[in-house]
Amino acid sequence: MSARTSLALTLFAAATLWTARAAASPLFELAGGTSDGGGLAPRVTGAGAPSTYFNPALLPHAKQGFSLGVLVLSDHIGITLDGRGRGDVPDIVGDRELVDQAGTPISNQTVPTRWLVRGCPGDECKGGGFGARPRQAAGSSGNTRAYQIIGLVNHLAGDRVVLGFYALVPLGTFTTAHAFYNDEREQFFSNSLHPELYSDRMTATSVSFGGASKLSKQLSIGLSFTLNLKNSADAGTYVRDANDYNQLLLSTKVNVDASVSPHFAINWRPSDVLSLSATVHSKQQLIIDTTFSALLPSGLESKTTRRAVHDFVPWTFGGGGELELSRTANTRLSAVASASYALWSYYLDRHGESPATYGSFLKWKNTLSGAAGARYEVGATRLLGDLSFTPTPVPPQTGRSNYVDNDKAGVALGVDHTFAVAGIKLRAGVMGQVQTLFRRDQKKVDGQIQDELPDDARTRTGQAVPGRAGLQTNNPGWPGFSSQGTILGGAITLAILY
Amino acid sequence: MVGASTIALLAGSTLLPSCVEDEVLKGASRCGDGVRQPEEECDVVASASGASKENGCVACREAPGWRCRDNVCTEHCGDGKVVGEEQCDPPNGADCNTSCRLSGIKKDACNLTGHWILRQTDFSVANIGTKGVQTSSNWFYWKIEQTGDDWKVTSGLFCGIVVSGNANVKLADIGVRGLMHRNRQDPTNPRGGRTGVMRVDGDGCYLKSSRHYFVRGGKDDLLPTSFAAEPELETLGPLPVSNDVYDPSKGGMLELADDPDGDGLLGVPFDVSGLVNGRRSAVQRDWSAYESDDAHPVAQFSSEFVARSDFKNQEKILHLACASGGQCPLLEAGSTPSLDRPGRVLFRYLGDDLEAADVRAIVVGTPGPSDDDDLATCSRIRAALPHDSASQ
Repeated sequence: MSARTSLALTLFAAATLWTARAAASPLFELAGGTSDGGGLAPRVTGAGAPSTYFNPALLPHAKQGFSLGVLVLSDHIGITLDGRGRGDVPDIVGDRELVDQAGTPISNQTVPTRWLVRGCPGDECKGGGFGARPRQAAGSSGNTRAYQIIGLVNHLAGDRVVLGFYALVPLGTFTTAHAFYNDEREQFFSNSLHPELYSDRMTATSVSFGGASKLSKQLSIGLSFTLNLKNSADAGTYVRDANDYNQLLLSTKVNVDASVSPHFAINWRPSDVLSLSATVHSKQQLIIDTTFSALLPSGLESKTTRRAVHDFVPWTFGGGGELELSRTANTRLSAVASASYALWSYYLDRHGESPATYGSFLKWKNTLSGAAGARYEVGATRLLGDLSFTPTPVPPQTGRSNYVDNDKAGVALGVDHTFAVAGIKLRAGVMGQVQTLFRRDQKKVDGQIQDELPDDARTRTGQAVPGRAGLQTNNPGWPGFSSQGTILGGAITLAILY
Repeated sequence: MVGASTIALLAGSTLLPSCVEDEVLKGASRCGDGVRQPEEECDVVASASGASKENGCVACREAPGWRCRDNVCTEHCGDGKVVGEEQCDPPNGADCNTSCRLSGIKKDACNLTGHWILRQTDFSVANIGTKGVQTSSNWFYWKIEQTGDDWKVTSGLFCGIVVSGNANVKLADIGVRGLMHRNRQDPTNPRGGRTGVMRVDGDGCYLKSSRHYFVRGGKDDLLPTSFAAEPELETLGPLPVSNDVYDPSKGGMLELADDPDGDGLLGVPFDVSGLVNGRRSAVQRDWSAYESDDAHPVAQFSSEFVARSDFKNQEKILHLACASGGQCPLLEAGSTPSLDRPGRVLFRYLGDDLEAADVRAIVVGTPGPSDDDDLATCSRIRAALPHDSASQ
C-alpha cells in the first residue's frame, strides 16, 4: 500500500468515526451529485464517490481517491395563508361545557380561535398558560445549512472489486426531526404550515456505502446501502400533581437500532460512446417509536405508543444514459439524460399517517422526474450543465391536510480541475445549483374540512352556542394557502487521487 | 474545512433572495360588518333601524364599562361605570347589589325578615393526582322570619349545584327537580329547620346560622335524628356502596340509597365535563353553617352581604356512565373540603312582600305547590347569582 493510499485511508477512517450517527437520506436526492460531474443526473453520469448512493455500478469507472468538501443548501420557501373572514371557534368552547343535541359532551379537540391569536388571558385560563400561537408565526423555512462532504472510492482489486463511501454530515445542528401535523391538530403546536419535503429533512445525516464490480468491458453492477435508524423511546411518568409538572417523576429508556436500505444499479456500455444505467433505490425512513405512560396516585395507568416516520424516501427506479457527441485529443462533449420514477403513493408523513387518511383523493401520486444536460472536458478541466424538472407528488390540498409542496425545476453548473501538488494528484471542484419551486395556490373546500363545533352545539343549560352555524375550524391552512420558493445549493470539494 | 464552510455560508447568504417569506393575508371581513375577527374585541352592528343603540362595542373595541365575548357585550358590573341596563355600579353592599341593580334597603338594622336568595360557595380538593381545587356553588331561596335576634327559614328551595375546576360538574336538571323540596330548611323538617341569630354588633351585625344537614341520592335515615346535636359526618352510618359502578346489576350495600330524580339509577345524577366527560350518579351527605367574622363583616341595613360558610361533605359514587364508553377511572375520584380555603355564602335580599316587583323578578308563583314554577325560580336565582369560579 502506498503512502498516499495510507494517508487517504487514515483520513477516511477519521471522518467515518465522526459520522458514527446516521439516518435516512432525502438529502442526497436534494443535493444531487456534489462532485465528479454528477450534477442533477447522478444516476447516469459522474462516476465518483456520490455514485455510491446514486449509481454504485459507476464506481468501477471512478478514480480511486478520498474527497472532502462542503455543501451549502439554502431553502427559501414562502408560505402565504389566505385571510379568514369567518370560521372562528367561539370563546365559549374554552369553558368545556358544550354538548350536542343528544347531550353528548363535545370532545376537547379544539380551542377558541382567540386563544391562538392572543393567548388565553389569566382570568380565563388559570395561570394563563396558553400562549399565543398566531397562524404561520412559526414556519420552518428560510434556513441556510452547511454539510461536510466525505467520499471515498477504493479499487480493492482493480475494476473487479471497488468500494465506495459517501456521506453528507450537517455542520452545526445535527439531525432534527420535527413531527408537525399537517391538519387542524397543528393548531396546538406551531399553528403553521411547513414545507413537507424540506425543512427538517434537510438535516438528515446521510451515509451510504457499497461496492461494485466490472463484470466485463461493457457491464458493471453495484450494490450499496444507506443507513437507516430506528429509535424507540419509553417515557414513563408518575404524576404526583397534574397541576405542577415540576413534581413529575420521569423514567426514560431510549434504544437506537440501525438498519440499511439497499440500492442496486447496473451500467452497460454497448459502445465507446454510449453508457446506459438503471438503478433501484429501496424505501428509506427514520422511525421513532415513542411510548408514553402516565401513572396516577389513584392507580390509574394510561399508556400509548406513537410512531413517527421521518425522512421518508420512497422506492425509486431510475434510468438513462450518457452519449458522447464529439471527441478530440484534448476535448470531449457528451449529452446526458435521466429519468426516475418514485413511488410517492406509499408516502408516510411524520406521524406515520398516509396522506389518504382523509380521502383517497388526497393520496399522493407517483412521480416521473427527469434531467438532461451536457458534459464537456478540455484537458484536465471538466464542466457540466444540467436542467431538471420534478413534479410534486402532492395532490391539490382541498381537504383537511396541508401538505406543502411544489413542482420544481433546477439548473446546475459545475467545474472541476485535476492538478498535482508536491507529487500528489488532486482534484478541486465547485458546483452550484438553483431549484425553483413554482407558485402553487391551494383552496380548501369547506365540506372537506373538520367542523370543530357541531351546528347543534349547546351549553349544558340548553343555550345555543353563538357562532355555531356553519364551519368553525382552526386548521391553519383554511381557507387556503399558496407556496413558492427557491433552493440554492453550492458545493466545493477537494479530492486526493491515488 | 471550517474556513471553507464559512466562506460557502457567506456566499450562500449573499446570493439568497429575500422576497419569499411567510405571510398571512388579511381576511375579507372589516370592522362594522358584524363578523368578529380574531384581532377585534367585538364587531356588533347597530340596530337595524339605524338608531344609535348602546351595545358596548365601539370601533370593534370594548366600550368602557362593557365586556365582550363571542361578539356579545354585557355590562361589566363592578367597574364603577353605569352603562346599559345597570342601575348602579359598583355594588356597595347596601342598595346596589352584585348584579348592579338597585335593591330595597332593609328598614330595620340586622333583621333578616323577608325573601332572600343565597349562593353558597365552597372549596374542595380532588382526590386524584391532580389535587386541583374545585369550586362549588349551591343555590337556595329562603323566606325568613326574624323575631328579636332569632330567625328561622319558613320556606325554602334548593336550586342546584355547579362545580368548576379541572372538571366541571353540574347537578342535572332532573336532579334539581328531584331535590328542590328535599332536606327542607323550614320548620316542617322533623330533624330541625334552619335557624339562627342576627343581632347588632358594634357598627355592624353578627350573623350565625344553625348547622343544616343534607342528603342527596340517599334516604333520610342517613341523616342525624336531630340536627341540633351537630354530629360529625364520620359518626353517622356509612353511605351506600355499589359493588360495581359500571354495572348496577351487581348490587351492593344500597338499602339506604334512593333515586329522587327518577332516572332509574340510584343516586343523583351529576354531569361532568371538561378534562373528563360523563355522568356519575352519587349519594352525597353534607352540612353547612354560616357565620359572620372579621373577614366577612355584615353591615347594618345591608340588602346583600357575604358570610363565612363552614362545610363538610361525604360522597359515594354509585354509577358511572363515561362519555367515551368503557371505563373512566378519573370520574371515580371524589373530593374533600379544602382546609385552607374557607367557604362563603352570599345573601341577597329581594323584599318583604312576595308581590313586590323585586321579589317577583325572581320568584315565580308561590314556592312549593308547583315544581315547574319552582324550577323557573331556581333558574332565575342561578342567573342572578352566577357561579363564581374563583379558586379562593
